[in-house]
Amino acid sequence: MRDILNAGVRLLLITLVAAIALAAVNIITRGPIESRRLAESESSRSKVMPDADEFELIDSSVWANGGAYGDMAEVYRATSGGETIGYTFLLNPQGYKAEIPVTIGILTDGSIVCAAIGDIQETSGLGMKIKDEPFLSQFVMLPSARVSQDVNTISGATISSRAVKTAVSDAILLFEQLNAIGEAATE
Amino acid sequence: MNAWKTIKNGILDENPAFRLVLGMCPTLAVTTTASNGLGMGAATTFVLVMSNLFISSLRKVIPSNIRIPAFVVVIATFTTIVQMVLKAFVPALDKSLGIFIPLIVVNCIVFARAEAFASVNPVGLSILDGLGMGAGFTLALMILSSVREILGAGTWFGIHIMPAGYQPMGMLTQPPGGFITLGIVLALVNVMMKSYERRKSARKGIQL
Amino acid sequence: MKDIAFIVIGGILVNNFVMSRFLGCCPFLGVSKKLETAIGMGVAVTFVMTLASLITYILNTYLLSRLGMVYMQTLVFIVVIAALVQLVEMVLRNYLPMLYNALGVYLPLITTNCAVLGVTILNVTSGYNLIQSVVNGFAGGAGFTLAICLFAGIRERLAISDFPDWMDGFPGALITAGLMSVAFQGFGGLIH
Repeated sequence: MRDILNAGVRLLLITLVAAIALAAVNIITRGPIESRRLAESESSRSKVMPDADEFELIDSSVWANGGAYGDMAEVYRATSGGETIGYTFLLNPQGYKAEIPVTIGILTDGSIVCAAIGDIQETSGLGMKIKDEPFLSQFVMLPSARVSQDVNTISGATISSRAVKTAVSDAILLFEQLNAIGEAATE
Repeated sequence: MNAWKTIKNGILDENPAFRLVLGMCPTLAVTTTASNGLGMGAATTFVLVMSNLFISSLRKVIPSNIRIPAFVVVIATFTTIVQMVLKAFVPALDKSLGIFIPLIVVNCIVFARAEAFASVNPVGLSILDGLGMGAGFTLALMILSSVREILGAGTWFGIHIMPAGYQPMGMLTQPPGGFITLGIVLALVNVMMKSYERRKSARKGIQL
Repeated sequence: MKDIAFIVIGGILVNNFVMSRFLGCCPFLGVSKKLETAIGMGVAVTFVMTLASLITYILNTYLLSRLGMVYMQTLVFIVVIAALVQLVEMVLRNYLPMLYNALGVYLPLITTNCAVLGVTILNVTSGYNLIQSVVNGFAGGAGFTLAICLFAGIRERLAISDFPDWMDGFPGALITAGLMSVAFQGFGGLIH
């Protein structure tokens, strides 16, 4: 009995020290992890909406109604000189291996400025091609109504490229919603 | 056993991946590019050295009936530390190694060295053993990932090194390529070790 | 319902734990010389993976996330799995000696099987809910069982064939596994 108690106390002590060590490392690394995430999302926003000088986060309560917009994560209103010029959308659809972070910028007239893909882990030589020019440039300045017909998926990487296409379509759905609200407000 | 022998043991005689055939999951999974192989090797080496260090210094405090859970806690702690540090300071590596960083916990090499070496040897030797085993594992990962990246993608550490006309064998960077490349490398290691041992015994014969 | 079917097909065929995710390679290569032991190992792993998915999901959602201690995940999960394996072993030995005799020897090996820890972490990173997690655990285990049984069947035959001695053992087994993996790649287009 005493042996078991003794062993239990020692194991508890080791676990306690381990937990304290982990908490300490967590406090040190939490800051850099968070700031890196913010910097990444900031840089992809400026990439898809280069003319904007300010981005304003739209609270998810405005648009999050039961997952109607797929894997939407963040929505920003892009302004230039105080005037709304468009919106940026960040979505994380499921790809072939893991989630694919897709950032999309849409101007107020409904045309897509550009789409950008974050860090992905798709199959090299196949799914990885969704990051490349020939696929992504299909979206540039495309009127939003034409995404489903005019964008070709990459052969051999159907799952990855379809995930991006669906993300863009979801972004367009939400954009139309937001734009309607925005117009109503200015009138 | 002296210091040099302990290190050499991990790199050559008992190379974890090539001779003991332990830690196969990361060996097969992350060796698609040389930088992944190096990163995984370094992360595993850190966990090996640190857990050997702590388990060796605690070896007289830990009763043998709670030995296994205590080892698991120590190893898991250092694995989580590696995971958090990589996430904060080398995010690209963290993303490409993905789930295989937390899985260092169940890498048989780390556990096997804790049980077989660190729990019965002094601190200094245990650290050296961790270094040797880690270096051996890293070497194995480097060899494997270099073969797979150079032939499979035509690059090494992301830099194009094959002539422009080279058509990469994409299959090598896919899962089947992992199994087949490791199989061929292991066969070559077998051949080399056999001839090495033959020469060693021949030399001994002359000395006698 | 559709997502459950996808998880099952994905776990067993498309993203087979051994053949395409490289999880559980150690027992796959180590305990696959005989079909009988391969089946025992497969069933034991499936059992533990399903249970571990259930328990770690509950712990992660209701304890770690609420307390903001997600960074303790790896430590908590591996301790839970180790304890679970011990518990299963004790329960089987006392109440189901028949099953214990069949699976008992494989249970201690399961703690360090990365398929088990792997599935619990994948459940979290994929954002699965309770049912999806449990199904994923079971499907992953079933995929592991399928792969190890097929492999053992091939190795039983390879054992009596004539290999050059430097290819005998692991090198030959690995190349066999590679060819199997090629076959599993063929399932790639099954899920859209």
